[in-house]
Amino acid sequence: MKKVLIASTALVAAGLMTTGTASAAEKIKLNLGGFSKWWVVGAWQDSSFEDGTGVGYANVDVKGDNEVFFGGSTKLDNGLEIGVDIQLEAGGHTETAASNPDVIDESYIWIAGGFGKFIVGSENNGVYLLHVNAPDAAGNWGEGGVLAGGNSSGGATAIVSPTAVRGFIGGNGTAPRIDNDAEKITYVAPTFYGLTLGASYIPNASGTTSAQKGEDNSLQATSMEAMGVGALYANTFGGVGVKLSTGFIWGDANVASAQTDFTQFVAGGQLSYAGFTVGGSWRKDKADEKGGQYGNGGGSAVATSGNLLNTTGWDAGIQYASGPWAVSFAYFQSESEGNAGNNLEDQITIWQVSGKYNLSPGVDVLATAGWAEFDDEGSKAATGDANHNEGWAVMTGLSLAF
Amino acid sequence: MNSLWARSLAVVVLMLSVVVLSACEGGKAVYPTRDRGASAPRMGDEKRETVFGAEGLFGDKKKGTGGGEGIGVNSFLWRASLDTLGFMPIATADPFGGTIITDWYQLPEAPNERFKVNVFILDRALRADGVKVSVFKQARDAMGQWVDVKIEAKMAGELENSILTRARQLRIVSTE
Repeated sequence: MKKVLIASTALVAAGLMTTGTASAAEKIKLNLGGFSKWWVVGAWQDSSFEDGTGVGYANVDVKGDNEVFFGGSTKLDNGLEIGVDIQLEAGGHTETAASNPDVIDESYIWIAGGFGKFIVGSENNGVYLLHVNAPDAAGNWGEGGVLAGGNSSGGATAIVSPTAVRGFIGGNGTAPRIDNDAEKITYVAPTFYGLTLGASYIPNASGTTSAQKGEDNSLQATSMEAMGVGALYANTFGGVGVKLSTGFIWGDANVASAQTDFTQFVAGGQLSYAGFTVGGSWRKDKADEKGGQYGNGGGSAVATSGNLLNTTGWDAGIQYASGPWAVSFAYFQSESEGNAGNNLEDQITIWQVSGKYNLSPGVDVLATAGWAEFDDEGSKAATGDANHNEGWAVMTGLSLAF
Repeated sequence: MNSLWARSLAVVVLMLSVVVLSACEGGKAVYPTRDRGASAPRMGDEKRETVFGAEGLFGDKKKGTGGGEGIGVNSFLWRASLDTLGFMPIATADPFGGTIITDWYQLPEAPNERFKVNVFILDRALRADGVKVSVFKQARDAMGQWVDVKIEAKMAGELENSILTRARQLRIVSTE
């Protein structure tokens, strides 16, 4: 038997070619994943807006959101787990345009152990990772939404946001994306009876100019140090699922002409029972007035950028899921300080109904219909107003997760 | 918002969470990710549902269980068992249940006795108690019929040791 044992080198070679997993350290093995989501979108802009801008928009378009993930991890002999995650944008979205070729939008290394997990690199901040907001059956809400995903401060949407109308940085969602995927260090603590804490330190929330971070290009006007802390509580009590999150991010613009602080508060929650999920969230972005760069009524200067304005917004939604089906309704509203000269506000309102049918694991048929309205602080002109837009959008899509 | 206050808050919460949570027994080392367009974070123990199954195209992103991809038991123990019993004809081998059952085998030197071996791999981890071997022996009686014969108790243990030795060799080779 010993002879047999030693002689079987062919099997050893075969073993090397297949997997070699064990509890102790081994080479990092690459894992491939990702998603592909394509929508056929019908959108009807306000004719007054099209007259005002002199631009006519197509009523039908095909839009996609595609990413390929490369990841791998290994467990060291001392018990530490270490891994890498790289996410490649794979077309169908604005970030692949020639003007913004940063198609790897997230790329980071993580180290995890009993002490928690450290994430170093380009990834959303720890508050974002823990954030809870209104449910949407099609996953077509917030920063990832075709209708909600952008505004003049970042990204673009099916119903075009007039440049004068300001909203949240990073799109019409409550998830804190002041820094999007700028390089940072994030710590997430182990979940303790349902409670998870996270914190991030971001040396420059605007990312680097060579890599305008984020597929929605949430590039900030000024160089900025930021840090944030967040918490998530997720637990189930007798069939009732509870998720609560809150977080705070503080930023400091270190540019002589724009001495200003920036704070961001978020809170959100979801309750789920017997297929129903009710959720909502709230976000407040506030720029300090001390530099007067970003007008807030009392400020002397007029805001020159869509970024770093004072914006408050919330969303709320309800979802029902039964077997492969899910349907939802969600509502979002934000109000932003416009020009410093008055106390009026820009307002963005979006609501949508979404549905999903799960064909097989990872394959979903999606549909969304909704309404978006972008109102500048100035009153609306009867005709040819480039500062107000509103309209319907209807879309159906197919989503593959792999 | 006072910047010093904010800075202190961040540092204090960070330090508290490290110190307090690492010392607690109720902690679970699962960490959140948030998929684009998702309404809530997905914790590390909630798998993504994909067309290639929960673990994605090339297998598990979060491994460390010691199991082989695609099979339900430890891959080193599995290959070592097949290797060790390679001289016998194998009747069934189920990598998901971790069983290898050989056919009856007569040693050429002793045509009047034959052996059958069952191997059960019990764990996805490479560990000494992860493999269990049963050996059966039959011999011809005066009529030429096969009858069960008691075997030495240590024989199963020796076979287990051979498998573990082989598994260790495979494991060492795989990390070089």
